[in-house]
Parts: sequence; C-alpha cells; structure tokens
Amino acid sequence: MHIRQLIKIEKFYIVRELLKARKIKDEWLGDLYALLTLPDEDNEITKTKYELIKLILTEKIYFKPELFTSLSNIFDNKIVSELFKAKYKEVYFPIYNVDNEDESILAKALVVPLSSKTFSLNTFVKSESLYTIKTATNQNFFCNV
Amino acid sequence: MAKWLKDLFEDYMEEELGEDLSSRFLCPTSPVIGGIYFGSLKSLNENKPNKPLYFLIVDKIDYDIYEVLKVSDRYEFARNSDIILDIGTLKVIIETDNNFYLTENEINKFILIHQITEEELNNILAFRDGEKPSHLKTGFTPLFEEDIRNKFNQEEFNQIKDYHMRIFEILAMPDVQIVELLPEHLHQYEMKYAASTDQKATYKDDMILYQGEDFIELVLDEKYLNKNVKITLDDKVIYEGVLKDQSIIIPYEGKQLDLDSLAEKINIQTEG
Repeated sequence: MHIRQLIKIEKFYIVRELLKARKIKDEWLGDLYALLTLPDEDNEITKTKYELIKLILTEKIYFKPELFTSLSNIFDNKIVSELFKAKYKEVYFPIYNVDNEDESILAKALVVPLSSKTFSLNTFVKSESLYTIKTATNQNFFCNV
Repeated sequence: MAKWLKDLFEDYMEEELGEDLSSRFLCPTSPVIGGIYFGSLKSLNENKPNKPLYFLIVDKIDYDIYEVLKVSDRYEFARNSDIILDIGTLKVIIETDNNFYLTENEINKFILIHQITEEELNNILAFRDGEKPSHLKTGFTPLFEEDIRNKFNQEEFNQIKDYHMRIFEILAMPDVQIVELLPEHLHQYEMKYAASTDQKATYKDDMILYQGEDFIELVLDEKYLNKNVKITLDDKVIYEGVLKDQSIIIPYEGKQLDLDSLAEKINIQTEG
C-alpha cells in the first residue's frame, strides 16, 4: 500500500507516526516531499510538514537532494548541500502581532543556518517576520514551524 | 418593552467590526475544549456580515468536528437558558440552546480569549441536560413570545444556522467499520518492557496499522474497497464482508502493542 493513499484520505496523523517510527519506503519519498509545498491551510498538514523536515534533517538516508531541488527554485544546489551538512536546532519561534498582542504566540520551529537565503516552507510565516530575525541575528536561515 | 433594551437591540442588529478579521494571519493550533474564542462571522463565510462571533468549545465529536455553544457579550438579553459568566475582561452569556459545529480549520480563524475550568464546563453541560446547579447565574424567562430576548435569541441562531444544521451532514456520514475483539486476542502482542518502543504505526504489504489512544486502526489498500474481504488475526476471522471504507477500527485500551508482530499475523483475502 502506498503512502499516497493515506495522504489522499487525509490520515495525516498516521503519516506522522510512520515518519516518527522511520517506517518509510523509498518509493514514498516523492509523495512525502510533495507535502512540503502544500499551503498550511490545515493544522494537520503543518504538523506533518514539521515531522517530515525533522526526519529528513535527522536521518540522512531520507535526504534526497534531487527531490528537494524539484520542489522549488529556492532549493538550489548550494542550499541543498548546506541543508544536508547542517545540524538543525529546535527553537521556539515568536510570532508577534503588533496590532494585537493576544494573537502573538510561541511556535516550535526547526531552524537551519544558511549562508545565502532566508526562507520558510510554511505559507503562514511572513517573510517580514523572518527578516526581523535575520537582521537581529545577522544570519540567514531556513525555518519550518 | 424597556426603551433602553430596544435601543440595545437595534445597536446589536447594526453592529459590525471595524476591522476585517477574516483575512488576518493566525498560526494554526489545536482547538481547546473549554476555550472561548472570538473572531468574525465573516471568517466562516465571506458572504456573511463582519459581525463579532464568540463561541465556547464543549466537545470534539468526530475526528475534525467540534461542538460549540454560541457566546455573546450582549448579556442584557440573557434568557433563562443562557448562563451569565464573568470572564474577567468581559461579561458574557453562554447560549446553551444555541449549539453548532466547526472544523479545526475554522476554529483556527478565531482567537482564544479565555479558558473556563473543567468544573465550569461540566456545570454548563449539566445545565444544558436539565440540571440546575444553584450557583449558576442565568437570565430572565421571557413572558411573551414577542419579548425582545426571544428576538435576540432568534437572531443569534440565524447567524450560525448553517453550522448548526451540519449535524445532519455528520450523521449522514457512513458508519465507521468497527470490529470488536476480546482483549486476550491482543494481549500477546503487548510490549513486555514499557520503554521498549513508542512506535504508533507500521506498514505491511496491503495495509497500514496504527495504534491510537483507545483503538487500533487498520487502513487497507484501496484495491479492496467494495470487495468482499476476509481479514484474519492468528486464524481468527476479525472482519468478513464488503469493505465500504479503507479504515477498520478495533477498540483497544491497553499497553503499547508490538505493531510489527501484530501486522505479521494479520491476513487479508478477497472472496468471491
């Protein structure tokens, strides 16, 4: 049975547990990587993207440069190579709403320092928010909430 | 009818939020049972007016559906079925006869503004079920049909009517295929050592196996859909019939199972 069937019937909670248990077949990786380009319209998708990125950055056997580069133009060879070598950090990422402090939250995020670009695969993370941190830390990074 | 109440009702009918809350960014979080949320009615449907909408989540009734009670800060219109609650920054009414259903994504368009205690939630649900906890403060019993409190209640219902009616869609969903198994059939697959694994899912050929908090879920390959299948565990038939859904649920409350061993002993055959 292919994991794309689980994705099709939106059993994301099972997909996440397969990722955590490292019960992943090679032929599933294309469909799994494709999840990273989905908009974060559903919390289930966001949580699954997080587990997937964590797995890819932790277990290099699941890191497929060619799949990364086919996802988006953002992933050029240099960035993919940096992601492969880097160690991620699990941090709490402040998302602050200046108009309403009550909407500000601390989101858990995976962060990888990069040399040339700063970006996130989460569609709800505004580039301005990343830019603020980039300026404060003087460091480019990839971030996934 | 008191003029001040009539004026308040007119004000309520015309009320709209100054800001368009429907398009703002909110980070997705898990809905909180007992949470009171605030946002705009427009966030649920662009064609609805930009009116304030408060609700209290009282239950999760399905995988992605939550039952909520309408909440309003217009406590002056409280009826005897509404509970008046002081939540610190606001005085609100919990409209116990005005429930509706929202998905997690819809709830994520609202802000959690307060969380009531478990005891308060239980009291509210008990009140709805007919109990009268003495310490709960409620509104007045309208004496006449045309009482403005009834008009308010009707308008409150009209705002969320579509989401109230969802219950019929939910009830129309096909029943989950549930298989009852005696606990002893699964005990032999319990992990012997508590810390040996916390693996919650595995796969085998044509199926994926998942252990939830109080159930085991078998997800079968779609090729079996609408076919006559026979599923066995250790030669015991656990399911036989036409497969209407890819998922089969086995209620199970026990220790962590050795899912790989369990999966090995499950066989699926098509018949006929």
